[in-house]
Amino acid sequence: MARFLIRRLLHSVPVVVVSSFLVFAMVAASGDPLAELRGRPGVSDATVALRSEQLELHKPVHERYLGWAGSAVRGDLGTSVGGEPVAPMVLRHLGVTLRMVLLAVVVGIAGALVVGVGTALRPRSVLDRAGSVLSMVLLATPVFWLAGLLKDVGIRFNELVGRTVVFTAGERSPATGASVASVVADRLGHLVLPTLTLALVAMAGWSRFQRAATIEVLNAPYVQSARARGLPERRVVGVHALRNALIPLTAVVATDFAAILGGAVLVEVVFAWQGMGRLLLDAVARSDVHVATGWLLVTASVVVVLNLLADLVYAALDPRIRNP
Amino acid sequence: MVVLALTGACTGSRDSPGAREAARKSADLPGLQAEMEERGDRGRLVYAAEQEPNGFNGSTSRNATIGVKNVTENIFFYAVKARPDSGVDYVGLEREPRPLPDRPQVIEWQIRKDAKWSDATPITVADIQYYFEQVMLKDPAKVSAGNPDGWANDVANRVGYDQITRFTRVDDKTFQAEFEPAYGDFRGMWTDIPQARFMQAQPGGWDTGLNDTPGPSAGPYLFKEWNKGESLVLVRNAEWWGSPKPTLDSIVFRFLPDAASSVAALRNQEVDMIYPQPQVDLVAEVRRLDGVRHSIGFGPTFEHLTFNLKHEQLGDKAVRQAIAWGVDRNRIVQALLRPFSAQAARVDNSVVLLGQRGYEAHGADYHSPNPARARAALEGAGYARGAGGYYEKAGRRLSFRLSTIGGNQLREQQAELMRSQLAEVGIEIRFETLTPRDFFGVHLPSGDFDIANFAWSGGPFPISAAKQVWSTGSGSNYGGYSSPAFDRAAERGARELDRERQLVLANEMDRALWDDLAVLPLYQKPTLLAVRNTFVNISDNPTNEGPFWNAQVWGVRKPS
Amino acid sequence: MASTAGARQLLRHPGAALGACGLAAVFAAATVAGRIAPDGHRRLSADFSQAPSLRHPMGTDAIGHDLFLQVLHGAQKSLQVAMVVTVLATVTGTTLGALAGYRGGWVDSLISRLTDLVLTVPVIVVLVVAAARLREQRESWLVIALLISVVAWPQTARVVRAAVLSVRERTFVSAAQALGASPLRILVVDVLPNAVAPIAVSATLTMATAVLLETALSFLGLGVAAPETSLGRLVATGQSAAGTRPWLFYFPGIVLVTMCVCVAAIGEGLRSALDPGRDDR
Repeated sequence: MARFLIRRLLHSVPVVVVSSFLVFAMVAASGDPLAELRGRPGVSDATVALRSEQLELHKPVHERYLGWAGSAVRGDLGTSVGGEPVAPMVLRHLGVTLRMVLLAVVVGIAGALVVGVGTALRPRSVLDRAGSVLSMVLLATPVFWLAGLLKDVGIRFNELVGRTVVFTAGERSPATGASVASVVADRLGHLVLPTLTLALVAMAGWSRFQRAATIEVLNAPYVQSARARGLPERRVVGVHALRNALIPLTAVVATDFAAILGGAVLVEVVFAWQGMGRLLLDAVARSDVHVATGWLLVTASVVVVLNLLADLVYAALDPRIRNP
Repeated sequence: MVVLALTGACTGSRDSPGAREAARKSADLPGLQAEMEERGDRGRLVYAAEQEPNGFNGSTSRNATIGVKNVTENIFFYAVKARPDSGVDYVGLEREPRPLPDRPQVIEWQIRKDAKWSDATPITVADIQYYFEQVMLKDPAKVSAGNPDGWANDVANRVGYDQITRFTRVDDKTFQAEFEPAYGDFRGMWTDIPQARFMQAQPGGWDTGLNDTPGPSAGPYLFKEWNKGESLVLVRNAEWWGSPKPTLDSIVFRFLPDAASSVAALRNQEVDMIYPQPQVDLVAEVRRLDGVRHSIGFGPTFEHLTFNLKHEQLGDKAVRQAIAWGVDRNRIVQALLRPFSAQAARVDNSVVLLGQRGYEAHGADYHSPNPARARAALEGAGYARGAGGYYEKAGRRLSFRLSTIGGNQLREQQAELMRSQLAEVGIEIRFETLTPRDFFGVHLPSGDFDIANFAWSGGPFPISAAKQVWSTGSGSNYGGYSSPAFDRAAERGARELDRERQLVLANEMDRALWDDLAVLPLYQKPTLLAVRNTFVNISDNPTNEGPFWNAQVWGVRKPS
Repeated sequence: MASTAGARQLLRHPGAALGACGLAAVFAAATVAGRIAPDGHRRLSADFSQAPSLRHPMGTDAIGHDLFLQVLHGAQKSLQVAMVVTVLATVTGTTLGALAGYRGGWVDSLISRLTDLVLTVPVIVVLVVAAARLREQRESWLVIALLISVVAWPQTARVVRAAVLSVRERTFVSAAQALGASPLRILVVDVLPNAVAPIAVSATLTMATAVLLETALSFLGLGVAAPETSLGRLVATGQSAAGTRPWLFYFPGIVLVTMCVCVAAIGEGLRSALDPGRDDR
């Protein structure tokens, strides 16, 4: 197993390196980060030249990349166009996004299990058909549209209860009360809407998947035989069917992870979270090479690690993989 | 660095013996707000800030953003601040700076006697002088092709400071500067100045020393903390030397990068004040909110069309006239601005703007559209109707690119309007949207455009600003305009020390622009300030100062 | 081979039939509108921000565009984007996937790494970075479509590779190999027809994804550039008006969601028609 993981990890190294160079080159070619400065009346050429020197704009791209990669290996991701060190900046934004995304994945999986298994037990029932249509509509809805809708619902809910329970902007209120309870309530209040948006979209796809997997497992011989042995239905579904039906879901969740991060970009914009999405959009808008590449490096690493984690879960669930 | 809002049109002279009282009084009665409402004690205001600072030295090109200025405006030393009525307050000075009677090239400033930093040290000439030295610092090691003079520091704008030939310290609080040539806009100098001692002690110095904290305060508020990506907190400076004293406990800058999310946050009680770029739906949303008041102002930034005068056809004045008669500026205002502001109006002056003292409406010929005259002008210039109803001459159709920055709905909409209006008079418009980088960095400087739609910030110094934009050979003169009349007026205006005569020259400059139709001004950009009713004395200063200009008088509404 | 039986199955699938009809209706309406009034969507009337009426069935925007014509035009552009992406991504994905699955060895490794490369990087980053630069070109819809294709093919490649792997070992393939048929011939004649079901299903997925990605890019201000328009652009710009001029947001939104649901329904239908074995009981 360990060897398998290490091999997977080694496989992903060239992928990350190549993609980081691609992003570096693309952003570097996307334009001059000082262009707006050049256009500002009153800014002297000398000032632009000084800034350009600091940003090494005169060097060829591959040289700049090598220089950056050299220090990146040592954990220094360079500085942004604005002069801020990139590494702490990216980690800060990563924390914000991961909090939202991981919770969304957990909620999404839980929801998918409940809905998927529930509808699989009664295929073609009204509930099943409703679920099928609903998930189809959810999958066809632009994420930002759904986010905007939930935001509106959230505000109306607050106005109904007469105080702000769920928040629509940012990840926490500035300087809330000192008590642990109020801090937790505040954090959760900020998390509800963005997480729900992401989780709903994820759930829509996963629940259909879980439904199909469950139906297949329920028809499998070993489940039939468990039934024949007279095991109670609850135990048949809960232990035998569910466990095996979880295996394909794990794989899907892992492959969808990058897509969820993509969706998070939009959700972050709608809910004004300063996460990875905002960081990337700003970096691209400013042609900020170091930030964009740092973003990619960290995001790709996270995706790789999470995929590995999924492999581990997969192995734990499926005894066939443990001893290849 | 320079007060970015001195309109050059200053009200009444305050260099009388009673100058100090007058200056005080103006601070007591902020701007146009005739009376100040009574304030309750304490309170916290949360402001939805669209831009997050990336450091606090607003004089560097990195940090010269409105997001930084909103924070430092109430922290750093300001000799002068602009008022909403386009007058100025010499908030940090004993009296208006003035030329020495015998040597008008030498100006004397006197810092307020009681002015001190929040660490209790006095604000002295040493602070000013250090700032000046840093702005003008040269380092032979930094000489390069792009930087032949070897400027050592990143400075956004040295205008004015680079005309000082000698800086003299008279005493702790008084200094003189000698200018060569004379600098008419000297009244706007010495703003946004950090404490010298603090900056010297920072390893990063001028360029990056203030990246994380601005240091001691000379203003009504103190920097307390900054959670990057979330919020920045200012607290009351109880020791502030000005008056009236601030009463709010704190001002929180909540960083919400998206205007739409800030309106929702206001509605959801998450923030108390927003200042987004207004747009029809945004204003309608704000109007529907309970317990929130709002105001719409028109700032010193104006939309316009710049013509590329080197373009073969656009170089012909008749073609530009046809465009000016074909574009219905009133209708643009009616469609895009009137739905939320009855005061919205077209602007007829590119140098001195509406709402500023000295504004004159020029270009009377073009105040209303006149398609017939447009066509006549074209036909007079030898153009004839060709395929599709578009005019052409010598086989070349009148077909222009209209370049602007993409992703801005307002711009896209006004471009569509102009396209359809100009089609009426037989001129074809092809719409080209660019990223800000390509637009400002590539297309404008290299002259790769026909007609460009963007905004100039005309506010700060009408003469200096307009001179940078339209005088012959100037770097920002993208259209390639060159007029002896304009250059003469601009040159004289820049040296003119008298404010009234400055205004006359500024208007002369604009008349030259209209005579040649180098630029077609459209309208001034609106601003929108919305504040929760529980706060009082907050008003917009639609010069470049924004709403933070008088934060010392803000407060919570006194419970009745 | 299930093609004729499959077609009958597909038609019997009510959702798929409905989806196909819906999509055809949108497409037909957009085409007809484009023929009758080729420039109608850019014509300005003096009615600013009018609610829906008989004159303007979907209302007008701030400068007097007729939203109905804009929506039709936008739908056409969105469909164009979707079609281009579907064709390109499916062809690329099928080719590479089939190659990887059939040849194995280093070809497989290389293509799989390439697939990983695209799947590891959140799609949106490539789009955001590239779109920021490239969309200024004329025919920005085509640029956007090409970009989306670049990131959309790996899903198909994976599916096809898996399908080919499972078919490769079957007897009729070995038989063809034994008879000395060329690899290309075996791939095209023997292997791919047996992978039609997954290819078709993933093509519909790609199509829906393309429409949604284009919408997402528009929302970020990086989609089809003005003066062109697309449904995504209309929804994205209409979003700020949701509370005050709802027609600007809901009409394009409803058409967009309907279109995607139609595509998804066709996909579902295809799935059960072409692969009846996996259908529910």
